[in-house]
Amino acid sequence: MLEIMKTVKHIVAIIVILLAFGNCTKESADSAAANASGAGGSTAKFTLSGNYLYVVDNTSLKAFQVADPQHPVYKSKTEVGINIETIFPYEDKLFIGSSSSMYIYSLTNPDQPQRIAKADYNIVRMSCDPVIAKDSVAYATLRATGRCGWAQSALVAYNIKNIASPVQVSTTAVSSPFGLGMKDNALYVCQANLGMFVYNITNRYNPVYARTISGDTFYDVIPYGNILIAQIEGGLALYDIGTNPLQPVFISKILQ
Amino acid sequence: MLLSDSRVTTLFLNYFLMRKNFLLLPFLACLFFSCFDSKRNLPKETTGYVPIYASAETAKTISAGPARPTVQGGKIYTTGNLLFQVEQDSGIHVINYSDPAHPQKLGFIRSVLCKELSVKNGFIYTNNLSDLVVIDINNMNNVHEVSRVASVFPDLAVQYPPRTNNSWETIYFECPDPKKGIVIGWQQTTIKNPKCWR
Repeated sequence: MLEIMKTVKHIVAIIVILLAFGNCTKESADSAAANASGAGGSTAKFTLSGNYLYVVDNTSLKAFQVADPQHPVYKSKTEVGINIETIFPYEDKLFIGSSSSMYIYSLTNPDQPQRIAKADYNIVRMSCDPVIAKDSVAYATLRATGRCGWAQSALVAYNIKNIASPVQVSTTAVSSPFGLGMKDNALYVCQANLGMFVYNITNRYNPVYARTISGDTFYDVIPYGNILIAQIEGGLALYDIGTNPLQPVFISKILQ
Repeated sequence: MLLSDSRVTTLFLNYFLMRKNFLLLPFLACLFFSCFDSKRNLPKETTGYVPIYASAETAKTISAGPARPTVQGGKIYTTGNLLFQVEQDSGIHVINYSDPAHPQKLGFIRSVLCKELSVKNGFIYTNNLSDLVVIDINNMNNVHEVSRVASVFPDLAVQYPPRTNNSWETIYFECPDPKKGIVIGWQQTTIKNPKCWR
């Protein structure tokens, strides 16, 4: 009996593998090719913009021209600051988060990004802090717990209408922020085991707490069309944000 | 100062990581750690980590295989119907979520010390050790490296045993020996007279 069960399990496994590698592969590869570049999480250190790959390390920003994937060309290294954590592309700009500042770089010359602004977080000195931006607003989370520092954590909103001089317009106390993302009037802030906090940003400069999605440990998100992709402990979770971005509806998890 | 020894150590470690060639790190780290040995009661026997070594050639081989369970899920990226998740320090899960209710893992791409990725036009840009590698995934049955820029990301190739839950507990480990190869992972076990810790 045990032998039969084993055989059945093997057959099922083989079918699953065949389906995965045979059937779906072509379709997905096609869609990958068709859709050019996609989107990463807010805590990324790699990002693509145009024909360039930009990478931050602890202190600098590196530019690679990747028009021909067979021959990437290392174009430049720009010293940015210390404790650089994250990079986020928006239009022809790069938003770079460090433990003490938000930097904005222009890609007018994509080979050699130029700094157009540096905004210091005047509330904390040591933190981990991804930044996202859209239109005239940028949000950063400053996590001042654990290995990243020992001060108050916060969600900070900047008015970036004048890109050369961001103005810190609001500071919302949060407990344990990690990555963040936004869609329409909703801002998602991952707070590890406390859950994913959803803020109403109808007034974009003043996030208002709406609800918490709990039950998992959330680290980062990518709002992508009508789907919210969440990096959680152990894997990924998908939420529907097509109907009401302020009320993400759980769809599935990808763990195994 | 309210900093514990391990916090100070990590700060110094970060200082070295920022400035020094990462290959020097094991030496520097051990040198540095040993300075604290006299002030610290190092255990004779404890739970700790031993390095898993590989030859440089093995560690620089990009290969694809069947889907595997996510153990330590890392950074994420999406394009079209495909979703990618780093498996910390070992590779990338490739997932098709054209049906979001039933996402399917398509396979796993092995890249030692993988931590970051971006994807465009069917090419993955990621790190393999401290190298930038470009991987062609246009045909999942023939995933292969197409180009590489060597030693551009020293920060991403630094490795010491994992911390769980951001805890500050001291982790003891056997000091890496560069003569034995490149450290591609850590195995938890009982170790005697550890000389390295973080």
